[in-house]
Amino acid sequence: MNAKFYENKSDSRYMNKDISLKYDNIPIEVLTPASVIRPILKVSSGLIGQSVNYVYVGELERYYFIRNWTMENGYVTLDCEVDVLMSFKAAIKQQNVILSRQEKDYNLYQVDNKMKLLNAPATRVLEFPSGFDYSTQEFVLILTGSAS
Amino acid sequence: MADKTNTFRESDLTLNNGTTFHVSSIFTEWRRIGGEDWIVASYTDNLKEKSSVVDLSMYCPITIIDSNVLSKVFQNENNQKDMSYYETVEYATFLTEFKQYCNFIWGSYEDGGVFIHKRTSTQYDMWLYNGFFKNESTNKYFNEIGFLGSYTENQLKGVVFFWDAWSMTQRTSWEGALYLKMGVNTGDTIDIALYSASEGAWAYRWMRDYQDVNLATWSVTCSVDWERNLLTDARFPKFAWKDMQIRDFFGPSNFDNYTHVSGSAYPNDEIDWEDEPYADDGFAGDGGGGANIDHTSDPDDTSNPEGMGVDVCSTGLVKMYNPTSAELSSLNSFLFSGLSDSIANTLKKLTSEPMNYIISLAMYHFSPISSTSGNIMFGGIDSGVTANIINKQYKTINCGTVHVPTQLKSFLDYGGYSVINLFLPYVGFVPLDINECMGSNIKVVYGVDLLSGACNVEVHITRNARSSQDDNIQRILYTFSGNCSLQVPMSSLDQRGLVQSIINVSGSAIGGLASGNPAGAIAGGLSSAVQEITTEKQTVHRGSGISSNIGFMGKQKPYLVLGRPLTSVPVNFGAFEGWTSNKRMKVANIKGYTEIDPDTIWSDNFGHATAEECQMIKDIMNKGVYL
Repeated sequence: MNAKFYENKSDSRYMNKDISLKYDNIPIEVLTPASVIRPILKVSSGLIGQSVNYVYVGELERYYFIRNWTMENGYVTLDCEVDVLMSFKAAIKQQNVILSRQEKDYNLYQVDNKMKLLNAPATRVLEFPSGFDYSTQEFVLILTGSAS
Repeated sequence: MADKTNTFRESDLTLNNGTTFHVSSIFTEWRRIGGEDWIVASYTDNLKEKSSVVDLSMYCPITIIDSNVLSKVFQNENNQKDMSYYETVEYATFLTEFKQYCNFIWGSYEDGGVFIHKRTSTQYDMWLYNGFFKNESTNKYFNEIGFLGSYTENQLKGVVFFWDAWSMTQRTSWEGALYLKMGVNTGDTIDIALYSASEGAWAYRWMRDYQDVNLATWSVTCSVDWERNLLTDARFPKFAWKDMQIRDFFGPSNFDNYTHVSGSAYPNDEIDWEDEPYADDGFAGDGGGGANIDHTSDPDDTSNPEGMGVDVCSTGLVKMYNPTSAELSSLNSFLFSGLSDSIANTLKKLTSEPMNYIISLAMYHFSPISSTSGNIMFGGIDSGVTANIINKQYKTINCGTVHVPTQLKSFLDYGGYSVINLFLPYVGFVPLDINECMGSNIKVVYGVDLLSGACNVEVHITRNARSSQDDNIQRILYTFSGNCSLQVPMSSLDQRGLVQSIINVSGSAIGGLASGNPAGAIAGGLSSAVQEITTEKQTVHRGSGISSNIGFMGKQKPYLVLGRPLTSVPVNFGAFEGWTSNKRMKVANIKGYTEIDPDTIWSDNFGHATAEECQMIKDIMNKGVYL
């Protein structure tokens, strides 16, 4: 079984990882009992350097984060964990989903629990353009009907 | 049609990069047709005459994909610019080139929308596009595209404005042509014109923000045929104008009254909106509700008591005078003079007490309506004092209109976060519903009864529908009452009654309340370090009743007190936390930071993923990923 070893510079939450191929077609051994989600790979220590932190195993059709290195007796044992975003990217992209939060497609008129407010609200006064006139004082005298 | 004079509305427009532009517009009228709003820009016959002048700097038939195609289309065999060369190449070729050069930021190739075309490494065009149209007889496809002009890459960052934008076609058979003209003129003014040309009609439909529309400032003139032509135009993009999401470029607060924020349609949505019950054009079903709402606006129903034809003044049983201070002094002398007065009047006063004819004496902070004058008569006793005669019992005091602007353009502008109170002279502070008032025009009108001093205050709200599920409002939503007179007691009995009435009024608990929701209103995810709820947490009484003599001493103009929260939002918050969405999209069309709603019904088809891996995918997508 062979694998490709990369240096990954992206956060694990990125679907499209920024990966640089460092070692290609490296023979590996998957230690048993083997987990397709958290496999342990064994590689001859002279075949890869410590700049790698990401691996693709073709036979498993998956990308893996290298979580830990262990070196012993001329071999490197790699504790890996599947990167589901990269491994199943094509299938994920076909999904129709409901967004709860999004960077570009949003509606700010929905209540946002993450919105932080200052405890110093703003007050604004909007005066109407007209009304009664304080400088005007007019008398109104009302009498019962009178002969004109 | 005769030439029309444009009416310009001007305001300052501050863009994301801090640049301020002086904005003018060529819109001059707004109409409502078929429940939808249309802004029609005026035009002059001079423009029509220019149709024979092939000056493409003035007119834009259609522009295509890149400059090479553009020049080919617009030049005939004599290398002359020719507007008749508007049909495109065959569909397949067009589609290939189109997709190669264009990046849709909204809409689709089939239904139209807005896309970007990169001309050079530093120049980009933004295009308004209304989709494909196939001419069945010629089997050719011509795409009606509006060319919006170009802007540089630097300007693209958070800024949207254009220069050298092109205008509309003159072809009378040009169905479905849609054009957006946004040009930065000399002197840093921007013209914003959105229009469709069909059968020679010039109609413009403006992108409007349903949340903050002030169409009273827009007005237009149009031809008599334009309505019919518009309604037959079948090539409008389905959601282009009502639902265009252009915040990607404009930013949340760039174009205050010019941009549109949609609550429904989003770029690249694959949902068939035609049958969606709550979509803007969707069918709500026989059960009612949803999109089948008639948005015909209510008529203006402001009452006008001053316009009443019959009142007590016309009966003669009551006489109302508007004396000056000097005239009242003279009247006082008449009433309380002794035998030095004329014998006739003295005898009359002895037999019939003039004071008994006085109903009331009051003061007002406005001038009553009078058109004649005459001697003040107490029964048959002529006082000899001349004063203006009031011939209208009612007086209308129009306090004018105030627009309540949205500030944050988000949920924070509304109930639970912002509050609004209204101070009314002779009434006091009254709370209003912020949800009704936000983005609305508020008019206050007093109807005063001079016979009693009673005033009826009408608060008139005008607001356009905020969405397809909302209605326009143009109606009195609040009424209050008070007394706007300063009563002058004419006897000790009157004084006692007056004082008691003042005590009763001032003791009433009329208060403007500025209350926010309790802290639990927003659930979850709240930091205790910073208060996150509302403007004020306690109930505030802003005053008590101030009718009559008390109100006479107070402020005489109404005003609104608007309280709103201030946000604490880090830079690029959206890139790290995202904003609320609730939109359905295909993952392939999503860009940027994304959190998927846990209630999303996922397809379990994730290729060769195991069940545990499927759950891992869902979990990480729920928590947030960068696509």
